[in-house]
Amino acid sequence: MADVTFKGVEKTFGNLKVIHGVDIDIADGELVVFVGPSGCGKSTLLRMLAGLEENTGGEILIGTDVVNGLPPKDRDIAMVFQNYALYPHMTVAENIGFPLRMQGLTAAERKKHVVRAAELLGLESYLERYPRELSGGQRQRVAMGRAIVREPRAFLFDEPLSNLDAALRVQMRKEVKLLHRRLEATMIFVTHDQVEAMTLADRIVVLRDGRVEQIGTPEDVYRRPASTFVAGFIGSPPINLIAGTVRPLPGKLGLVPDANPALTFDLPEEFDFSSGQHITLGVRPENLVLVSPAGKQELEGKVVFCESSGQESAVTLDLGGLQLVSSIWGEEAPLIGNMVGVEIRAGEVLLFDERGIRVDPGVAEQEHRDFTDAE
Amino acid sequence: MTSPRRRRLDSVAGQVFKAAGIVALGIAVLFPIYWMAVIALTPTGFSRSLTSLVPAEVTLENFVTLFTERPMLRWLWNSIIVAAASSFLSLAFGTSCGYALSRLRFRGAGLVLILVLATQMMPATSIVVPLYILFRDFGLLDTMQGMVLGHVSLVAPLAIWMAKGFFDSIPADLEGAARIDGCTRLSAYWHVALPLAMPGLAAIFIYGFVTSWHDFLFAKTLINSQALWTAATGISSFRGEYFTLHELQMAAALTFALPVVIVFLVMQRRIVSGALSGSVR
Amino acid sequence: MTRAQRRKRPGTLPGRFGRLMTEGPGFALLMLAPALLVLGFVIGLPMVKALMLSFDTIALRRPAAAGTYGLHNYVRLLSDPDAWGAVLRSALYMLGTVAGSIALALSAALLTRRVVRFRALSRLAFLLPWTVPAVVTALVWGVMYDGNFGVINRLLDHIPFITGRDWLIDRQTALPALILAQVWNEFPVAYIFFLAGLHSIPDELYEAAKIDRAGAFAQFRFITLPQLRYIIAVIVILLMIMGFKSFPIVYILTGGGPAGATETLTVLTYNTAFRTLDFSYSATLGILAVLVSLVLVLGYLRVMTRADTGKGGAV
Repeated sequence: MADVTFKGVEKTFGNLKVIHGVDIDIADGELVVFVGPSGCGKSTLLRMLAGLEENTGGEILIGTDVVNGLPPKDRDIAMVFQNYALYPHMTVAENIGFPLRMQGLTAAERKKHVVRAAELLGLESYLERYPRELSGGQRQRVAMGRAIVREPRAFLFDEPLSNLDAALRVQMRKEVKLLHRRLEATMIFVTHDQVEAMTLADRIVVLRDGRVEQIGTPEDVYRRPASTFVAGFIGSPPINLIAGTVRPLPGKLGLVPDANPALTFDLPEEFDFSSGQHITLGVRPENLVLVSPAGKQELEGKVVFCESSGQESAVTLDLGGLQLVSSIWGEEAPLIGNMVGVEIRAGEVLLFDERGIRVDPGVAEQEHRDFTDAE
Repeated sequence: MTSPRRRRLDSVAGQVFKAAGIVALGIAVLFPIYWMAVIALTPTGFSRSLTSLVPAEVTLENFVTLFTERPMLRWLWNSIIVAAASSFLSLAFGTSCGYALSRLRFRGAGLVLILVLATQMMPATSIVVPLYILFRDFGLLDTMQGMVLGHVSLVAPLAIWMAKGFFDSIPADLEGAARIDGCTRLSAYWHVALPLAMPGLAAIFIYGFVTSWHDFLFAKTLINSQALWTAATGISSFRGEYFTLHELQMAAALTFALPVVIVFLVMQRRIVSGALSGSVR
Repeated sequence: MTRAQRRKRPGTLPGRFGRLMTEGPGFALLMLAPALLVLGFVIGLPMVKALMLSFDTIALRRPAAAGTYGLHNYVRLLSDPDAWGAVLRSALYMLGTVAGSIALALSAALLTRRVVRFRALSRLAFLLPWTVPAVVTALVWGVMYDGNFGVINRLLDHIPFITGRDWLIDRQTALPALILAQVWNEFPVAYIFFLAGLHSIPDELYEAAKIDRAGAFAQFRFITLPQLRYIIAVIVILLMIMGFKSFPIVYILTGGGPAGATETLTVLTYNTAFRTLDFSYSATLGILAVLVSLVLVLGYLRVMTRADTGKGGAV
């Protein structure tokens, strides 16, 4: 096992720069998830770590070795691919044993390791089958077996669950997590699914357009998103982002939303904004409380849409052109067309400056924020 | 609106019309093959007196003449040797090249591809004239080696192009996985890509074999001695030699065409479905 | 397992050279070199030789002139009526085979596309001529075209007002007769393409058209043809290339005769070398043929890329 470091890593395809200087430190034994929308460069980063692509700038380290230019076989890593990449002409046992065969182990030694890996994954009875005779979940397990059969310095997962159906995905997610706990291995997992990222990760790396947007624990990323992008990407239903202008109110400052200038949201006093500044206020749907029927609240909205998944309902409200989503738990959703009162749970707002970067209380005018977490 | 009964009649009429069309067109298209067989089976010299479209008397004497009085067996054997050697060589050299064109990004890849395509598509007469002069200087004229090399120029571009196509259809992640599992690029090619391309390579061998078997120009130009003729040269000489003896010409033609037709019939399903799925997406 | 054990791998070349050849740029070289060397020998070298010949004077009639280099062959080519006649005949030959093959293949494909019973058999019928070697095609059609005893003339005897003739010896009919033989031999290629193309048209389009009350002809005109347009373009160029390359059928049946009436560019190239024994001029004609085929190949590539991108957007 080893730690993994990206130092100012860049990647250019022809004239197109897709990775712009990425720095990530991954500790030994950590499960880190790279998440971001498609095209953000997460898979490219992983493939550069594996050696399937060469980085055109910066350094990649596994342990203390700079692996730039090293072919994949000499990097001592294992990888699980999105399409599993099982060798169709080999049985399950041959697939799992292939890395050992390449290391020059004898058939008998290989068998011992293969059987152990198969037991770990519940594949004992499928060893003589071919990949085409297996279900999606079983193929996924074989791919994992091929990765764990030797002891690599790091495990890489490239969207391995995205070809599975929803129920199986949840099941395999759990197995990856358990595997990580059992092996205590360094794992890097790439996904575009924020739920997968949140549930799996020790730490999450949010990527956007080839740059790191934020690195942090799931809690960090959810509660203290570095930017409007992270805030909007993580969480479902997505956060309400209200762009507007800061205006003075008697004794405090307020936010006048662009979508409906007739409204004003109070801004918490501990933030130093100046009047006229264009900022964004973020409220998670669960922090938008509905009070029905509308009473003496300052905000009032009309229910225009409601999606219920049983215990949770996402209610879309229209506040004179400004649309907000509230999620409510365990209660019956209001009827469409009704007017309801809206309250923001005290203290549960996120504020972002004009660049979309989150500001902390009292430090609104800070010069520069380093997105990577403190050492 | 037309009545349901009327409409059913229309569609039945349509079906009958279509079936008749298929049968008529099919007969017209297959007639030359049928006629070749009819004449080949008619006693020597009697085809001119045929009065109907069915053979009056069936005999194998033309084939006997062909194999006893002419070196037909020898020519067929030459064809087999040349076709097997040239398509094996083309496969041996072309497969790795096709792989490189499919997988590796290198400068000039596009140019190599276009050149390979262009050589496959230009008239062989443009190659064969200078090749004749070169082989004359190298002493390769009128030798089996020379003819094999000539056929390689015909088959190799085809093999490269087809091999590229087959490798394109194998997911590149498989070799990525192999490289991570401890393979070099070379051993990933050997352990993973090559075994998976095997059915495709077999198809390339057969296509190459048939291409060489069918070739007339190179065989005719590069070989002079009758003993080294391929079957294509041999049977084409019959048109001059037995101009009026249609029966012998047709018996030779049938003998030459039959092996390929049989291979085609055996592999027909795969060829057609392959063309249906692969050639046009 | 220790690290030292891991480093040992079977079947790999040792050292830096091994690494270079199995991983790096050396690998590309290793994979490409054999084929490029062979192609260089059997195609590259002859092409260079052809160029050299075309500037030289290697001809049986003027052995003393060998070694006089110059552009004379090209000058002669520009004003040689035989050469341009051959180009014209090649063009006619291409035109005829393309039109004939497409008409035949499209009819066959439209007829057999929805056949359920005898499906394999009906397709086989239209594919079989493809398996017949060009040499055999030439012999069979030669026998059928025979002026005295050919089956074609004998069948025509039964039809009033049409008299048989010696098809391959008559200047009027020789070229069309050769075109027909070529069409018979090569239309199955187009047939397979059309079958594949028709196969890929979604049935929903026809169902929608039927609901919009389109008749059989309207369906063909407004759905089948537009959906097939890229395939048709590909086939046209492919058949042009095949027709342009064609050699054995013409050579065996007429040798370019009667009196040059069927002498296409390929046949003229061959005859110039091996009948007139003027290798230099023949090489010049060969280069002209290569240039023509390059234009066709570029057209082919263009159509193929269009077909790829176009289809992606259309379906």
